[in-house]
Amino acid sequence: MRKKLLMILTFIGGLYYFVYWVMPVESRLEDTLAYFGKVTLVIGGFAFLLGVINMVRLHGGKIVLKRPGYHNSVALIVAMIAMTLAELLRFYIKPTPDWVSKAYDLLFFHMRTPIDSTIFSLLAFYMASAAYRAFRIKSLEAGIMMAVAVIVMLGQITVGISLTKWIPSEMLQLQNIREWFMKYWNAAAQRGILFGAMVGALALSMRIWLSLERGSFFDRQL
Amino acid sequence: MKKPWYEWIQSIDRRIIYLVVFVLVSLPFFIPIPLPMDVSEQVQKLYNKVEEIAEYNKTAKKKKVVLFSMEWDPAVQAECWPQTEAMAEHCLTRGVPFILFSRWRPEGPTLAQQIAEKRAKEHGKKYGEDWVNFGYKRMDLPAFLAFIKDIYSQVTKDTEGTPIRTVPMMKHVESIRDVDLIFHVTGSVGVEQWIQYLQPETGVDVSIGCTAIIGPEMYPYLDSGQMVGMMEGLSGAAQYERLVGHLEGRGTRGMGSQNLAHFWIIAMMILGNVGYVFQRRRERLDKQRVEMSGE
Repeated sequence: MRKKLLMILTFIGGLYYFVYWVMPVESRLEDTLAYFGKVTLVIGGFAFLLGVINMVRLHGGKIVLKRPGYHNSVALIVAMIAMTLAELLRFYIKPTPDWVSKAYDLLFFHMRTPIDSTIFSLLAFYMASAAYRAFRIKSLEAGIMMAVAVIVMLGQITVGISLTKWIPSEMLQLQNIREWFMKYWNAAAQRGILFGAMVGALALSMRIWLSLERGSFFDRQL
Repeated sequence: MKKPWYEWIQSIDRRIIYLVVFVLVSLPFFIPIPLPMDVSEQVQKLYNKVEEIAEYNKTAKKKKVVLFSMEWDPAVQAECWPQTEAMAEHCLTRGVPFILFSRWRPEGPTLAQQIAEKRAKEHGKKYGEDWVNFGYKRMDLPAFLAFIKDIYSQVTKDTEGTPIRTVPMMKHVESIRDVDLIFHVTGSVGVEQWIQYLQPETGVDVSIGCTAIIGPEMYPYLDSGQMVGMMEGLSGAAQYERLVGHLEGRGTRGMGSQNLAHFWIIAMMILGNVGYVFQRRRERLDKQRVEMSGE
């Protein structure tokens, strides 16, 4: 029964937006759009809550049973509660007390921001090492790829661009060769990928709308 | 046995590579490297669009507005921060009001708020009159469609908790059609939805500030004219800073590090391949020698 209900709700939800796009503006269907927008926001709010409950259950269980690595779970739960409290207090207590502002700044600007940036910055080190170890010209295709990569990289930076500034023909200057690769070869490939992805998305949307998709709850007996 | 040189240059310890990257990236922060700068077509077009809005606003009673779609987080702030800063600088100095807003990244408007506050203070501009922060408003596609139809149906308060209808700057914005440019800053996705759902209905121009890795995906939109301009990576931000005369910005300062890091990566790629070519040559010669001695 629950499965059928889900299928019916999914179909009606999809039907509304399908009809919205194909009906003329005069249909006044637009007037209901804001209402449905708010409905999805509320549903989304519940999804957030479910996520939090799920995380607390999973990591709470780990902490209670003292499973290996439980201290990471403690850090996660503490960080989550601290950040939520700091944000809520900052938003709802007006004027914001000094200690709340300080706690928020400490957590967001002096912990969360540098940690995130640092982790992502590690990529620069890995990329340098990976380019050195893995990028070998083992075939003609690999050779072409490397040549294009070098041109695009040099064409992206100012010193690279000035290397070929002396060439009288602008066409042969690095930044223009790079632009040519990006505008024509790259754009054509990207268009092809986009087109394929969109056809796939259309097929997937149809399958979800008509509840034909396998996996997730569709296969399960609810 | 001592390793032949071509094998040695293929197996440099990765810690040495990391150390050199660290030194090269850090060095320009202490010793600034003066660099020549050319402005790309995409950056120039974006700049021209904002200038066009600024010219219109000089005489218009109802000003045109730029919406900053701040879909970035601290992970990509090396590129997205200077892009946002350069655009905020341009808007504030040329009298173009702007809105900060995000659908996916709660951190985006918070970081952008810092940028806007700093730039606004320097130019004597006021929150609420020259810029406003809608903050993070989680929106799925249906809510986003409703937002396009009626901004006020989905966003009721700014980050301060003030009803947005009472914010002085919002007198210029009755609907999304009064926004003349979307400036979407991102390290991942999202700009497509502005192009797919907003542009066909309203004709609002869309532009992007993105990490260099996302840049190639944007070329089909630039080519078709669906996107008016782009700031691609750190160099895009540095070019824009040059156009607006904000040369002390993070973009210009960061270009030194990027130049050196790129050269190092290219040098390492060449070094590895020189070793590889010579190793293969040596192996071929050894094989020939064995075959000849066998005969």
